[in-house]
Amino acid sequence: MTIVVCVKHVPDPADPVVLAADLRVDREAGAGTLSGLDEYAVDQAVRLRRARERVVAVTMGPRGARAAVTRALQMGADEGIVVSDEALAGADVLTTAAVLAAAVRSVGDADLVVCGMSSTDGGSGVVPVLVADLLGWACAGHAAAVELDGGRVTIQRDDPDARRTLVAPLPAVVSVTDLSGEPTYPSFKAILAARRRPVREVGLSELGLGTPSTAPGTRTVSAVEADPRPPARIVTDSDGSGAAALLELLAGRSLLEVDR
Amino acid sequence: MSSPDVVIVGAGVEGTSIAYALASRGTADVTVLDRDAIGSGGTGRSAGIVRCHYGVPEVAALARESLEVFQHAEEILGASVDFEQVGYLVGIGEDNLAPFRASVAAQQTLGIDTGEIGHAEAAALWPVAHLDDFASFAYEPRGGYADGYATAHAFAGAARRLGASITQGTAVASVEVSGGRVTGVTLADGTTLATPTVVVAASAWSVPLLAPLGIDLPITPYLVQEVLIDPGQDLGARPVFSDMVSKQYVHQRGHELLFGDSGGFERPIPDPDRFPSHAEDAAIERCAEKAMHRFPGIEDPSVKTTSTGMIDVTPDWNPIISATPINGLYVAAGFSGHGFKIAPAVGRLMADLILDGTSSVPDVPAETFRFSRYEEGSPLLSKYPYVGASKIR
Repeated sequence: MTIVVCVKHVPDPADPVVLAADLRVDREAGAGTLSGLDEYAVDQAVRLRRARERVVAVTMGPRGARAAVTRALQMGADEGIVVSDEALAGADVLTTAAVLAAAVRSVGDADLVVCGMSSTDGGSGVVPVLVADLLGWACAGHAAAVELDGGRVTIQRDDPDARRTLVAPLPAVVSVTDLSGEPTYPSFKAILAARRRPVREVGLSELGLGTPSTAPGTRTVSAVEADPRPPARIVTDSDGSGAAALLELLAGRSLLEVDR
Repeated sequence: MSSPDVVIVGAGVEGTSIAYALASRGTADVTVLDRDAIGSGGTGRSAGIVRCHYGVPEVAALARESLEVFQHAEEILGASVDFEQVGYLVGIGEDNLAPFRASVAAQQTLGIDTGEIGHAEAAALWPVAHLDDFASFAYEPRGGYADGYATAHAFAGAARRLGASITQGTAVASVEVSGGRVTGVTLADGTTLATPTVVVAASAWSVPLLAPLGIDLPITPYLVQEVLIDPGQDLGARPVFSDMVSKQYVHQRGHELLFGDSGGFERPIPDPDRFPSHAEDAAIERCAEKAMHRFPGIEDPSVKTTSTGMIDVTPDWNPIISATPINGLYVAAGFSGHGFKIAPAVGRLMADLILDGTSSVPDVPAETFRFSRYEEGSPLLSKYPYVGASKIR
């Protein structure tokens, strides 16, 4: 059995954002990082791997995206696939999902795909379910816990009203949340060991995909600076009226219901 | 606003040290302006290493004088600078043994407490280290590390108590000059502060501030990356370790070990305000390789976190502490990643330059760090350079 973990290389949220001329984020402007939420996916994939099984980390992105796979290898993945192709610049979620599904098929014996619940940059959260649909596999999303057991994957999901247990037959796609574990920085031994693990760099043709024939389904039409945050309102309490004033303020903004 | 005698641009460890030195000499009408906060630039990101091992005697002398302040900060400045006097160990390879011995001898001539030690003594200082590939070591028992942020605050606090004022969140837009002499500074909000004397101690940000005046500081911002390691075991208090074979420096910070690279991997960046917030993978891998080689006694080290910072590098990797062709305008910048350990004496030197035009710092002639040395073709270089290492020893 092979577990595929889909990872994304994203701009480091701590770095300033630079927009390119086409209004997309300039991915070359910063070193970038493995999407924080994907660390949980790698962590789960490695944890679910049993003896004689392998974890393959797959990414699609510009050249620097290889760093996301490198980090996944350092965290314990066995192999990597980097899909990089000029024709994929500006790819939207539909194209991304098609490429990732093709990469999963290229692995041959994959029967579980683990994804983060969402990327930390685009944040659509729909790629896992699109990949599952394209593969014709079941999808169980937003797992706080994942277990593999006799040809089935079982997840626990915390919904607003209840914790649900979902069971899907393999092959399947699962996405995991930041409640699923606590990924740590890799050890030095793991960092050095990762250098020896194979990474395959492929273009669209190697995956049997043609150049996307139509324009992406989405494009950026404008980008505007967010409004600056309004100045903080400071409630000063000199005579004991502060608590009441604070309540009034919160209730006035519907942040608190006051039962009078 | 009033018209202070001296305006200092930049409330890092250099600017606040200068303010303190001026105030303690009786020039208390000093205003320090910072676009952000005390120690918010390179100071707060400094590794804080304190040692005197330098091949430029004047820099060694600045470090020697500064050590007194780090060691007695509470008496002198009235506040702790979190100085941990764990000692400083430097290991050297066969290829650099001759300049190393000459440098240590020169440091001893300057009265610096340092001396060559053998493998057995070094092994006692760092039991988990592999030391066979070193030819020799020097040890400074008075070295160690302090905290950049705490040091800047200690200087700022002491300067304030003597009457200086520190204004944070106030950017200087330009230095005003008339008839070849300074008349004041204009702030970002358009207000002007009249003053006859301006000290620019604003790291790489000094460059755009002085360029409109025709002063082209040869300072380039460089990115520095460090890795904090969780050794996973208690190592005890170990001296700061400069490994001149693997080209790395190591010191403890709490339960963690901070690793920096001294192999010349710093690289120029176009904008001092824009650099990655975490170390790049290549830097982490380099660190892993070097650390695993040097510290086989640390069983399973892991990365705790990484940090990055910008240093202001000059052509000779030594600072500019100098008057300028404009009357009343002084510069203390270009510290090239090793300004922290000399900062206390830099303050004193700059106060001397402003008030007397001479230097009272022993073994440091006033003209040593002059701005004009670059166009004169007289860079300030180590007399005992080490091959393959960055130029700050």
